[in-house]
Amino acid sequence: MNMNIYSSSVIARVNKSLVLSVCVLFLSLAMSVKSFGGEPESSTTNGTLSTQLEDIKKQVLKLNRDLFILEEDLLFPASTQVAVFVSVDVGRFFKIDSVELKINDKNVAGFLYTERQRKALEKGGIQQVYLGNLKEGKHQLTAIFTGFDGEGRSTKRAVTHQFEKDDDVVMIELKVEDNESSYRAKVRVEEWVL
Amino acid sequence: MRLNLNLNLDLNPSLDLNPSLDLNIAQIVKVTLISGMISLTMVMPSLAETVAAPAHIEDKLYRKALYSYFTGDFGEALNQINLNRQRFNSQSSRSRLFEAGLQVTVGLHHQATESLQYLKVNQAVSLVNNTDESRTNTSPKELKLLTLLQLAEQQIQQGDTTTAKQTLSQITEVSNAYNDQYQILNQLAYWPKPPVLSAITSREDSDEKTSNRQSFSDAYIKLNQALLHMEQGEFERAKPKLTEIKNTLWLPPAKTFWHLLFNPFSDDNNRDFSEKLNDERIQQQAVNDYAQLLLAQMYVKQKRYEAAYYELKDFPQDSPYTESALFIFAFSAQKIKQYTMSLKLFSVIKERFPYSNLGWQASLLLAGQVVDQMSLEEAMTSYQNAERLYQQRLTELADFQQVFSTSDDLLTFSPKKENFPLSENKVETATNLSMPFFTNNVYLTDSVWLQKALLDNELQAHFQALVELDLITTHLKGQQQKNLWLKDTLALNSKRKAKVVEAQQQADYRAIIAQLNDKKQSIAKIVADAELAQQSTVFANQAEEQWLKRIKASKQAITLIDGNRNIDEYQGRVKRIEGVLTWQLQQSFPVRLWQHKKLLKEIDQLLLQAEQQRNRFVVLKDSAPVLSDLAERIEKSATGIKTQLINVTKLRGMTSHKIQENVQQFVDNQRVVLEAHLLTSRHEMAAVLESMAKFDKRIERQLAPNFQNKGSL
Repeated sequence: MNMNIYSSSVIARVNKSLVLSVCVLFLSLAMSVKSFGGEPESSTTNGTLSTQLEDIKKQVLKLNRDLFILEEDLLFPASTQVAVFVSVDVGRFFKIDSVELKINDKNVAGFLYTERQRKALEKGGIQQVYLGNLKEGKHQLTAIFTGFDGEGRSTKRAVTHQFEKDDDVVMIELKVEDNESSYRAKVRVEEWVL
Repeated sequence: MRLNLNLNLDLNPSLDLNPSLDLNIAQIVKVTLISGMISLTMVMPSLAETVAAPAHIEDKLYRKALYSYFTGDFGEALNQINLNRQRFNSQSSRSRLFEAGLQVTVGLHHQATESLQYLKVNQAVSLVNNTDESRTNTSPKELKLLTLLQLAEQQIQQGDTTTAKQTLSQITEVSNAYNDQYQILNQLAYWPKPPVLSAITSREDSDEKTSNRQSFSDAYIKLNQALLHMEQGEFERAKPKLTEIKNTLWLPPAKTFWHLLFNPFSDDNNRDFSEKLNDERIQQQAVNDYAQLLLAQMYVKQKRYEAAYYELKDFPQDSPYTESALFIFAFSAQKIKQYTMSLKLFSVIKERFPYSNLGWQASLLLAGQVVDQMSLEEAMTSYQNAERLYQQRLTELADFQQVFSTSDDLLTFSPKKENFPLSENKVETATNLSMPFFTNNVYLTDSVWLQKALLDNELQAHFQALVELDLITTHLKGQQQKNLWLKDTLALNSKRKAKVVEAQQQADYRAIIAQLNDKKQSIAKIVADAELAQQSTVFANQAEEQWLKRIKASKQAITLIDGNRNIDEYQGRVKRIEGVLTWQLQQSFPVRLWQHKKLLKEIDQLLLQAEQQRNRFVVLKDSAPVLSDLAERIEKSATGIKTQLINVTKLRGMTSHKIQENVQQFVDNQRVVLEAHLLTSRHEMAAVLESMAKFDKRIERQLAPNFQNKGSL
């Protein structure tokens, strides 16, 4: 009975059946590193294929990015682009459930959050909730958030913000922030200055 | 003097100095020009320029990528980081490190190495504060350590252990949070030699380490050490380590944001508490079981079969190592003459693992035991059974090889239903994520032979590559459609632009604005004169004008009848009416004067805006290169997509070929093993037959004297 082969297959099985942490992966890696030495040709071919796959992935990612920029340049040029973002600071007094956006009293966007998306916001992520075009001039943004307060009661928060669209991109962040003194959350608006 | 303010323009055929009418004119001018401007802006977008983002914006852009990461859309996160760099020149070390982590996650190891190399060169950059606690803790010193560790990990994954050793040797000090990772990487880089741990451990958080000593990482380090001792025949050094691992309740190590990011198999962020708990329980069990199995293996190597037997006596049935443990247990039982037990165990192994090498070996060992323990006939039957088994497997193997080698699409060769999200519904998958070709799902098959072949990591990786290549193809086809749509949109916009420009050219806005300016100036002069002469009738409204006309007509009528009648009464009445009207006009004069001045100012402003917009329109109208640049970029993308589709097809062919080679090699190996077993079983059968013949002869000899005696009688 060959003990080395034996343990190597056992490890491989662990990786497949359990997908343990990276550390177990290290163990299997140790085995594969060992086996590299014995089969140089095989590993070289494998390396070439994986390198080629990586290269394709890299190129596809670049294509994705280029197309994304192209689309944005074509459909949302800087001179008319308006973007609205949502962020949550802590989120103890307000568990965000949905947001509804109006620009100049017209509904432009709405978003219903899943648990994972809510957590992503609470962990510090910023979500782009709207991207659109507006002509130059003064506009009004209204945001209505629904959610649950610290005691699980359904609650709403709303904010209205006047802004002026000029030649540059307008980026507005709606920050849902906890207010420690009032034990309530409030929505603060911040325009990003590039 | 009365003011007639009819401008007689196409845009505003009548203009009284009435506020509402004034605004209408202004709005017409404004709307016409702005609509032209907007439509032109839509068709001729100004290209965003790359500007360096201020620190707070860099932070926000980074957090935008974080949102995508936390929601599981790694492709979008990577895209965002790239966009941040391309559009806003956002190049912070934190972003770079995040990018490298994402690249590791999606399997772009070479790119990750490049990103980490970049970071290594630019280590001096300090990090910007962040709201997330786990990220604020990252200091430049920690970043350097992290970079070197991740770089070494990438190098090890690429099989470049020499460079990995060099990278690890650059670490002079390691904090306790990363000490385990440092040790494990060293073990891997130096395997099968003992690791060289040159870095000193920082003391600042030694207390924390003490409390975290029993983490899984410690278990893995010890397991690696024990394996090394076993490889070197130092069993006495391996034993205490394995015993400790087996008997300890290991805890999951505290993981920082970076730990999680750089671990492609970690989805801690996406699991709920019960799932995590279950995983931890399974992991705990697996570590303990593996240590127990290694201990038994070690005893077998030392020929201490009894120790191995008792070590595995209470081994759990549902462990991933059950097959191996069961085999060693049966083997040890046989060696220590626990024949009943070993017979049962070998039978179980044979039945439960009919396609495994251990199962095949079990058949022979079982038959061997029957020879020793039971009758030769039963032994013969056992060997015949084993022979039949090997022959059957050889036939199945040949069938498998035949069907597999003629399979056009290897992914359709006996796939499990669970794979369908990766194959049939891949379009749906493609729309869910921005990078749908990234998947953690492992390819599964219903074919027992392929399942066995897939235990080989290299083959599994090739199948994974095939799955990913198919997903990339689907994705690229989607992008091709999108690109076509963009092309159509651009063509439509070009047409719109031509129409807008044509429409705008039909009206000479410069002349219109100039005319409006002249009119405005003449009105302004009238207003100024009226103010100077305090002439209130200039601002008379329609009713008042009617009254003034009637007064004038009345006066003319009175003049005509003068001499024929007594006109004193008429004159008196007209004078009274005129006086009242004049008084009214004088009363409202200051207000009306102010209103008109204000309106004139507003018109001034609107005309100025109209002039500015006209100028911008001219600029946009003449900026044809923007559209041609977009068209060029669309063409470039189309070519890029086409090239990549060709590359994907080529690589798919190569990968399929490689899989065929690997499977052929696997089949050959299996055939060799089976034929060896078959040969052994036949040898053993021959031996049994020989024994049976000897036995028969002995019987014959025993019976022969009696027969001879009887004959002689």
